[in-house]
Amino acid sequence: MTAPDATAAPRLQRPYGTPFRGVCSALARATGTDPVLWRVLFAVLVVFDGLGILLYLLGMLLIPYEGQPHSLAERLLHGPDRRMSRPEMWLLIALAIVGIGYVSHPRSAVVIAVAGVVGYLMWRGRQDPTFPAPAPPAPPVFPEVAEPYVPPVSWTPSPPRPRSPLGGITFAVAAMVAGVLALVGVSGVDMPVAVPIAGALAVVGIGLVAGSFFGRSWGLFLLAGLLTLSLGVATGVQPLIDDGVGKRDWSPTGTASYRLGAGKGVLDLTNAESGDITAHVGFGQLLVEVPTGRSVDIDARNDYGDLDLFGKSYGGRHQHRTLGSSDATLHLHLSVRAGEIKVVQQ
Amino acid sequence: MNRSFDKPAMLMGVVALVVSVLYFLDLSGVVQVDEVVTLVTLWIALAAVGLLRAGLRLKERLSG
Repeated sequence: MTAPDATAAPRLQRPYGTPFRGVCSALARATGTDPVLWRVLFAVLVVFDGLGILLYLLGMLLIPYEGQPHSLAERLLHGPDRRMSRPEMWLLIALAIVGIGYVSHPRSAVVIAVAGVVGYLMWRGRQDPTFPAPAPPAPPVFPEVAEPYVPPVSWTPSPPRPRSPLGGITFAVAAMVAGVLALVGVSGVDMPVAVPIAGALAVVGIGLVAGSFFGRSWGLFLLAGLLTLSLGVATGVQPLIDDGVGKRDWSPTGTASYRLGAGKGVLDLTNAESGDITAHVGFGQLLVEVPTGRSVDIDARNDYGDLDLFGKSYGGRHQHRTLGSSDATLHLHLSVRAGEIKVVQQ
Repeated sequence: MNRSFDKPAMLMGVVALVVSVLYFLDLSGVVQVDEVVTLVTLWIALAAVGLLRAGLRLKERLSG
């Protein structure tokens, strides 16, 4: 039998008595660094669209407290005690709401990657037998002059509640719905990849609402969370599949419509005298080159990012501007999901 | 039926239903759904759950 390796990395555990919820202290202990560094890192990440908040919430979900064998996520997944306290319930709700805000955001990939790393660290910790087991509670100490110790009344645990069939039924129906929708998609019907996920999510949602009255099923709780995240990721990925990725050069001569999933789209209007031209870029830059002296009417929309029209930056998502005479015959409809719209005069 | 309901399951179920319904509405072109619409709808739905729960409690209290 081999001796335990004293140099093994300590398991991620949140200590008590820290300023917040101990995530930074846990990371600092595990990496042998100062907790202040991690707090500064999280604070800086908060500036990036609140990314630090989401990561901290994930840390609270995945990292157990000192002395507790399992994190909240592990407890809900594997049991045996799947009950949640009120703060834990609010943590999950906050995580779901903040997560939904992120899933259609470009940085969702970063979030998922970091969550994966934390999950891996925890999994590695579970596999390592050198981690010390939590210390048993100290026996009570009775002062000599105190009253004689009276043992507590014998307590027997209540029998476990019978398993509700609702979880199994809901899971089966959700799988069936997702499978049928996937088959429809495979059979040639034009359908986004997220439709089977959304179908399954709707069934799980109904199952959870019904379960809240007729019997709980924590498996459905987690399944709903996973499906919601998957739906967001699939929705974000769909434009990349439909519209492509890379650099595109467009030179219309009249009315035209162009789309690009991610990358850089360059719209050269040298040959276009009149017409309606629509150009959309999902994630990246849309550069429009307008010849000098050409009158154009521009309708530009950028959900997340910069809007630069003829060297002037604009705030807000939506701008309508006219260059040249007000009766311009060339109408541009420009949109970017996240990135930059830049219109320059050549 | 229970006099009240399991709150976490109800909340998660409502979130799941709202997200999936919004997705299908957006897909069919009935409404254009973005992050703001999603968050506001979730907020309203969760508030509705709170109202329902308060109503159930009130009913329970009134019935004795």
